[in-house]
Amino acid sequence: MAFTKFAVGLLVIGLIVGGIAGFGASFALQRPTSTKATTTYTIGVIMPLSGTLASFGVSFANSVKLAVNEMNANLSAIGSPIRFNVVVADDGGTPNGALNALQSMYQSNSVQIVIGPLTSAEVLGLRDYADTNHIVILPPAATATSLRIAGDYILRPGQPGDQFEGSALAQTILGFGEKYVVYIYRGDTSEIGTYNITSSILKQHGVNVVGIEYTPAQSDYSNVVASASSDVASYISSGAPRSQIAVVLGGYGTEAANMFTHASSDQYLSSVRWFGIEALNDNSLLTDSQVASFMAKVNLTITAPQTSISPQGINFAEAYAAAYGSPPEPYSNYAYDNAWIAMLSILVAGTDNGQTLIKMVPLVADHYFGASGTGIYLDQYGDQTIAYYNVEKCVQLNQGYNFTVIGEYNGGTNQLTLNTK
Amino acid sequence: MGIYIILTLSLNLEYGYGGQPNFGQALFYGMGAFMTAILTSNLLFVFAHYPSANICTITSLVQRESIAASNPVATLLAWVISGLVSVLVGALIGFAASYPALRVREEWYLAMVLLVAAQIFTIIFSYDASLGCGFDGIAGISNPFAWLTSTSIPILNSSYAFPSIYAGVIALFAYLCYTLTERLTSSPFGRLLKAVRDDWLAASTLGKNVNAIRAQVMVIGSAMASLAGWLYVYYIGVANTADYTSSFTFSIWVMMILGGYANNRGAIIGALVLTLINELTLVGSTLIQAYIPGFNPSVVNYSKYLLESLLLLILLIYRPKGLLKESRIRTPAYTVFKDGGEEQ
Repeated sequence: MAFTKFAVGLLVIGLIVGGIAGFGASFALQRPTSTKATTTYTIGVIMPLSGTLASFGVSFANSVKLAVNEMNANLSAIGSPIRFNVVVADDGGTPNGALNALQSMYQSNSVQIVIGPLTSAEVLGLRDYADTNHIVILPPAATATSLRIAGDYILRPGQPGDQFEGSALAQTILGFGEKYVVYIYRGDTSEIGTYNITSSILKQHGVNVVGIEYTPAQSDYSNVVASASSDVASYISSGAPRSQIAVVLGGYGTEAANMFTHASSDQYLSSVRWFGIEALNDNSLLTDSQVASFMAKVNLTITAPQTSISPQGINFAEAYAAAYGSPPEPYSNYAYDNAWIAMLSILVAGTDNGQTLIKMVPLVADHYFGASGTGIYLDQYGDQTIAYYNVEKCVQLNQGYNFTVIGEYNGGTNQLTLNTK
Repeated sequence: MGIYIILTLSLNLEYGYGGQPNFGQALFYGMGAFMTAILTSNLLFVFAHYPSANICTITSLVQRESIAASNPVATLLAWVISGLVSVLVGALIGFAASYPALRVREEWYLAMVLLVAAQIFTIIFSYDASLGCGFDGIAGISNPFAWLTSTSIPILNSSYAFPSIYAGVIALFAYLCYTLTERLTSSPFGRLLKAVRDDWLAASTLGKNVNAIRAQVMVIGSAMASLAGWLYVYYIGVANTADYTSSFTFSIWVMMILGGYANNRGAIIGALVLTLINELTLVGSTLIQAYIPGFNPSVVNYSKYLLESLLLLILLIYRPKGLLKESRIRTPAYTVFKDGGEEQ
């Protein structure tokens, strides 16, 4: 009985608080057209401002604020009555945090377009809510292939998706005429994804692929190397020419160093060509003489995204440093560009209605060139399709070892150009 | 809110009444969530007569969302079965995880064992993509009532109807869990739990099997946590290890400490207060930014941690037992005694 009274009391208090909150919210929702003179549109930012990814989250949020300040200054200079405002919410780097942040933003500010979140997992957490409520989501650096879904409210004009790396690697291996591949890959989502895409393309072209998944963060990988050696030996004994056998390493850091060290003393693995991912262009590997000499000996060839520097990118970096006293974190330029695309879309559409913006953003993005240094073209999934990769080979130079560019891969056309082998 | 209430009630049953410190709440909650996601992903294909497929691919994600939006029988069957199995698996894991640890002398060893087990769970499900699709998790678990949008019933086919119905379902399960824990703790089993908590040696000298009682409470608590995981996955649409970290477990602990040990109403109050603090700071932060451009949201975002810590410190100083005191055990005998006017 006492609890019933308590529950009723709580309900009454809840209703009063809810009423006050609703009354306050009604004022808040009127805010975008608060005066006759100005119209203010709100851009939401959902990023991890706490937790292990906070440095990226803060930098991305600052980049959006920078873009909004620049836009407002320009609008003010031409006497426009339109202004943009930013509301930032912390999602703690979790899917649940991202959903809570979007819900609070939508309910309190009626936000219709959001820059963020940071990781693909966070994006998946708020995806259903965004779709149901028609809120356009523009994650700057969520690249997982698991987000390549047509017809949803997630558009990714930022960093190119993971599928390009897999395709670039597969095209490169095919370009060298390899027919038998032993693919060692790290057991994490990114490398498993790259392996799946690469091996799928290779198999479509009649290449034999053996995959060896390894557990990350082990102290020794001699068993993995032994397994790869056995597979290469098996290919050789079945009559395959060594020039058509390749080993691919989808790993990096000390794990890769350990494998290269073991492989350097293996007669089979040191007699075939090796391929790998961009992370193998690593100073710690290149300065280890035993590892680097092996990488050069087996002509280790990797695919790495081209870094393009546009005047807008230079301006962005300088403006960011001037505003916040430190350089932006990597990939912050994509957040900056996404903010510009969001604001330009609202200006062109004359509204921040999500159902209108979902159609307008691709149009604006496809005609935008900004701080990221490349143009944008969104495919049917709303993802960036312009992606350029360099093909680089490890070589010995006078003062040590380094990677040299030997070709280029164009993601838009899916074409590989090799200058030399 | 309802999900947090279930989790806090479950922890309160284990620690508040049973004296079993469970630092692995995220393990049972996460296991329920992943079990649900894996089962649902496969069962939807079986019931809708689709060929089996890798649940981590985009194609299968789109297919299961399509089934959930158009096939109510398959969707509801998958929802119910995944719920039953998740609860069962949660109970089994609770038993398996506690079995060796319950035989240690200090109960805090159990806490450590469960904390480590939760960490292992997160690492395995993050790195072994064959289990839970790795870091991206298993997505595309639609609301079990999403198919209502494809019906021609005017009120039910709106985009607001199915989330509201599911919110009601969560509230119903929270109420059922409250009723269950109230009945359990008001029964002789509840008295036994308290006896074991307060002096296990004395309880064992009276012929009570302390280990069995401890295991039983762990099984019930774990099953409830898995139930919460089942409800949560269908709410958010994705099972991802980032949502089942140790820091989440400690949030549930704060809710329980705030509300009061060994008091189911306290558990509800604790969950309510902490959720309100989180929501109000989040909403408050965005509202302030809307009115004061350039306002640093971190001031409010971080203030919630300060507020929670402050609240906890004040409580531990002035009300170390939480907002509500430990409740009396309401056995039938007590009720008769109370109704007799002897006790008010």
